[in-house]
Amino acid sequence: MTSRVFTLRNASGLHARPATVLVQAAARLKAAVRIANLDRDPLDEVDGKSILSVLTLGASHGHRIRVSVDGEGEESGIGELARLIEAGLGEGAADSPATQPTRPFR
Amino acid sequence: MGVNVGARNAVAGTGVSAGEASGPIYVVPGEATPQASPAPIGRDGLTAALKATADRLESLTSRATAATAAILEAQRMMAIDPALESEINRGLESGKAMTDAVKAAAEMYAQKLERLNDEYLRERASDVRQVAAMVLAELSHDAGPRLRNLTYPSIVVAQSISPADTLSVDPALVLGIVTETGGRTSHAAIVARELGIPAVVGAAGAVAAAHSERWGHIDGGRGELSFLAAEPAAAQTPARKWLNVRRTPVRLMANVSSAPAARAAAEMGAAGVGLFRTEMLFLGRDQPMSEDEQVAVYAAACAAMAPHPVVVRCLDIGSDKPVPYLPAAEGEPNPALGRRGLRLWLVRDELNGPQARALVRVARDHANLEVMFPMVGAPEEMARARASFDTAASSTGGAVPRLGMMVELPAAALALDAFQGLAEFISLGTNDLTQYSLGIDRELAWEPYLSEFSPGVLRIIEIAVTEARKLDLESAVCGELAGTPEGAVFLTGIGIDALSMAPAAMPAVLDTLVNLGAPLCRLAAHAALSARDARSAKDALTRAIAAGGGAG
Repeated sequence: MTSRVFTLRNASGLHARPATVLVQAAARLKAAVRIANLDRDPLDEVDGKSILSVLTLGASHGHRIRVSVDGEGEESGIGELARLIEAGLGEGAADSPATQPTRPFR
Repeated sequence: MGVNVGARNAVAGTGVSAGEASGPIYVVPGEATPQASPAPIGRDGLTAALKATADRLESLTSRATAATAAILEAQRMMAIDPALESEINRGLESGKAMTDAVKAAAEMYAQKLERLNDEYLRERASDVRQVAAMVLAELSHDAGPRLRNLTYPSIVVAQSISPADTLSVDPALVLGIVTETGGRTSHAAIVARELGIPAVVGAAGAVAAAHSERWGHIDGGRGELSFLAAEPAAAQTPARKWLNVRRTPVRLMANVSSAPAARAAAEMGAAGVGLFRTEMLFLGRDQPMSEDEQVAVYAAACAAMAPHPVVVRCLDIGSDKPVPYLPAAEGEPNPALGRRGLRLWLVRDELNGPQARALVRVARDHANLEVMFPMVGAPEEMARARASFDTAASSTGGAVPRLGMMVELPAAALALDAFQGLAEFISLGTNDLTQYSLGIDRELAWEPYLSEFSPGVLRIIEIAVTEARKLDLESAVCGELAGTPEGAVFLTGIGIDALSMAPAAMPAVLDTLVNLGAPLCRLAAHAALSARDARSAKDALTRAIAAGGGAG
């Protein structure tokens, strides 16, 4: 098993879109993935392939999460997840849901 | 003061989108009372229902803007979440009936999300409850858009409103939204603000109270839904007063996506449909609407609006809106600049064939049908489109309607003479025209100095409208700009023939134009065109509106 701790730098932490990016990547791995929010409850480790479980971690900007990958390909798996998290999970620092633009119908 | 003629009682909540409207009440079915347990369904049936729900959510993303698509994607993943399925199975093993097991599992996660100290995550509690409702509908073989029985503009009252609901209904049919749950960042609030309609959220007890009521008045500013004893008379409803469009210097038309909305727009007094979007007939479905089904839709819209024109826009999609029944397009690096709009329509015979044939069949019997093509760049494209219609007419015995072009690309706007003889009218799609002129993605928010009021964009519009007049081509605008007071004043001032907008925007635009009159619109437009930046341009128009013409 391989574990790493990350600090969430993207503006909205693990909200809907960033969470889906992370969970989709975790779901593609053969190995098991577990995630805990060290700033809320380090003992509450949830299935990284479950969007609902990951959302309920309540991981916001600045929180530290521990990601553990266990099984086949765990080294490259944790590397892939690390790259995504460090790149902001598809979101920039300024893109928080509160400022998400809404564009009407054409 | 709100209109409360014969108001009997009311429910209160948080107003999240301003405006008022009166009309029939539509209570979203299936939430007031718990559903009876369907026949025993095994774990395989549950897995299938979860997958079907996920597929349904995925198919809706083709109609959604980026922000809404993100919610749909999260909901899709909830439907196939292994933890959700295990929780439901745990409930079944402990003896719960299927309905209760699904609800309890969703409820467990919903409550966990609600306990989090984060408004955005709390809103996701509604998302998982909506997914559960969709799964239950799937299990009862009653899946499908919850608003599918909405055929007349109504105030929609529901426990909560999801993207799946609003993407499956013509927005022109929603006068206002009232939900029991949700806050300022709920989907109901977001979509209501997008549509410019009133919305009240967090209105506890609204569904039960509205259940036996027929008519209501929603006040999005005060956060209230009151019930009326009788059908509100047109004169008493500020948002739906009868429009006497002959009072305006330009023709006011409506943007709709369905025949019922065309009918409602006709009743409101709209002098035509300037944009009948046809994407809903193709997207979010397993199969496109057949030729015969399309005939019925177009004919109904034309009949409802006669003798005023109904301008149908041929299917307008790109590779960013994947369509399940079409072979996947090769990945385009920039879908906004890829094979989309007319370019796509011309090469997809399985789409253009039935649509063209349906339209020429309807045109034979309805003289008010007109057709326009999206994203036209070159005269050759219009020539090919015309040829499609000629072919369709000869093979069906139909008639070729008036064919026009949307002007959304600077290259077309600046060279309209090249289209002489090929386009019989033009309609400016100012949303995309702004996007392509300034090079800004229309799905993102930008600083105010990058907008349709930017000097370059206003000048392109003015050049196109002026040239259209010289070429004796009728001109219209169907983009957002037409539905805003400032935009309407500008466009009227430069000599546009028609403005087409969301029905909700029509009363304010009518008032503005009537108050100002054409000469003052011309002066204001001239001032806007002389401005050196977007803000000054818009301010010139705002000031002119505020100063007013004195006409009552």
